[in-house]
Amino acid sequence: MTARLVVDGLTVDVRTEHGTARVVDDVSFTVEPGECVAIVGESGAGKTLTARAVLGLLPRGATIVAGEVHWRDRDLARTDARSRRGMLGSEIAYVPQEPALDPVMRIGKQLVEAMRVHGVRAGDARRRAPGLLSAVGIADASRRLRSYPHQLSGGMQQRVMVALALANDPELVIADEPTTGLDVITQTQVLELLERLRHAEGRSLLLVTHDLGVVAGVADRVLVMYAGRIVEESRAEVLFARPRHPYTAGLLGAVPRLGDRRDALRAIPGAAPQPGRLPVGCVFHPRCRYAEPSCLVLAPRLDPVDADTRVACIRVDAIQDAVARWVQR
Amino acid sequence: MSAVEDAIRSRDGIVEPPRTRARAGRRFVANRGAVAGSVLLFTLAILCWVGPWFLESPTSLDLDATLEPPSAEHWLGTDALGRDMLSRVLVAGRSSLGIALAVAVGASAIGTAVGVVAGYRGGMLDGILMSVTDLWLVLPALPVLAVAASIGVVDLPGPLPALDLSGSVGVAVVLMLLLWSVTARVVRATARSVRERAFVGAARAAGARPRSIMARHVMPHCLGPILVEGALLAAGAILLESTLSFLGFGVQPPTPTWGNLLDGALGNLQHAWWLAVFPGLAIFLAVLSIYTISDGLRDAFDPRRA
Repeated sequence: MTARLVVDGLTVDVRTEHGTARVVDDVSFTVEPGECVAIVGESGAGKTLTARAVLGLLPRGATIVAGEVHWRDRDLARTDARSRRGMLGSEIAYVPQEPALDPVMRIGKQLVEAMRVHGVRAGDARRRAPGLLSAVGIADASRRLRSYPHQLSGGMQQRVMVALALANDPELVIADEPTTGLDVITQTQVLELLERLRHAEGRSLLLVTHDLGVVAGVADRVLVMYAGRIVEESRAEVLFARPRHPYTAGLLGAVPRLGDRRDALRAIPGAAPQPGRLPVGCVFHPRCRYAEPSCLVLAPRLDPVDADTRVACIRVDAIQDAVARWVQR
Repeated sequence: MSAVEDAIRSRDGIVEPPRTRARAGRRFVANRGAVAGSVLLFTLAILCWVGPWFLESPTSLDLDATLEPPSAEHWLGTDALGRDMLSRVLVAGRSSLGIALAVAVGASAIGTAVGVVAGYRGGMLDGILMSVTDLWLVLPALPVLAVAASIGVVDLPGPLPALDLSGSVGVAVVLMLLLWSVTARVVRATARSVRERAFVGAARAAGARPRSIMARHVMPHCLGPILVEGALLAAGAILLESTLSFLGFGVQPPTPTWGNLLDGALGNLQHAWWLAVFPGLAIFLAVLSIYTISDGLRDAFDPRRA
């Protein structure tokens, strides 16, 4: 039985030369068994750090200062290194942004090592390796097992990363921008692969991406992050059809469409705030076309507006029609 | 062009560049100096181990033929006790080259272990290990070795046999314990950069233990510097052992080494040049060949040419 991932109030601080910056602020969400949840946002919105905090693999200088990450009977935010190691790769697996293969080790050896880490015997691991490569759509698996990483294309390397993540049959796969470095066709193939493996085995998938096309293709639920906070959470179809938060609307509006006659892209004005120098009140107010004086003082909470959607905006009711019209335009 | 040949040879026409280590091997073989050095060192070693079988014993005295210059009978002359110098130089080479090999392997092993752990773990452990390493780097080798040699036989704990610090094995052990620090420094620097690479993070995310990440991912990437430093260690060991024995602190006679042959030559230097020249030449050739090998290794593993 696949477990449920519950993230509650996760807060991460990073130490910098200028002091401490809050890069993930009070983030709460769940990933239900078999569900695909996507975290979207601009670079620096805190989505990767959120994913890495769940894995317990924060970079040096970053620490979880508050919140809990429930998985099975454990709080991953507080578990010790040994029990985390036992869980990483076997219960929760990670697919990094770029293929991360050891250049001097053959593909087959790397697959076998990934399994041996979790107690699979060498002989059994070697027998299972070709099947893993076939499962991620790599032809001629037995020959590819003897290849070194540089002998494979980027797309093929990323498939190997997926195979590595699946080596111990994990229940939850956390994929951080798994398609960013790939061309469009390979992107689609890798996404289809993740999607197929999710449905076939009942795995959950937590997908971190800035690519709304990716989200639309595979996600059940979407979390939109801005400046370390979740500003909107909704079912994917609902979010795309009817964004509520002005930032979400801006993101969707910024995607150019085929046949669009306008010369300029509809960018969100301004730039994302620097961590540690966040605006007071609503973090998005300096860039928000609907901001009013109260937005400068009141920090909005992520509150449900209906059964599917939670939005962090104090004016969500007042502006919903205007936002909908703006997106349609 | 070898890359083109590889492309032609590969079955489906995909260019498959040869892998890193094979490429390093190929570049080493293409380096004339390194190949000449390897051949020279190998020949020297074969001569030292096989040669004496066909010669007079290095300990057989002939008091009727003392201090004879090189001749057809004694190619490198005889010493003050009428012993055949060729035989003595070759047998001495067994000790000197054996010590060099043992020190290269042993000191590399210690240095690699310290360097990989310090570089990968970082933090306080790194600080402590590197302070110790720095302390070792500034330790003056000769006085330490002299003191060690004057201690003589030390008892080792447990089932280990007593170690004579003035024998070949003892000198090798002392040199090993003295010379690992440079390797540790170099390996640590490499390990620190390897630690930041994506595949190490991925291994951590896959639940690999630090020990296995160090052994399987970090250490293999430090192989180039380890080999280069290892060769330099071998050369350094030969020189240090010679110096030490020349000063009378190293391996004690009757076990001949190139260093104590030089020491023995000292008294008769004015009228028997061959006593000093041939052991000196042996040291020179051995060290020179090892340096060219080290150079070749460094070029072969140079990432800028990879």
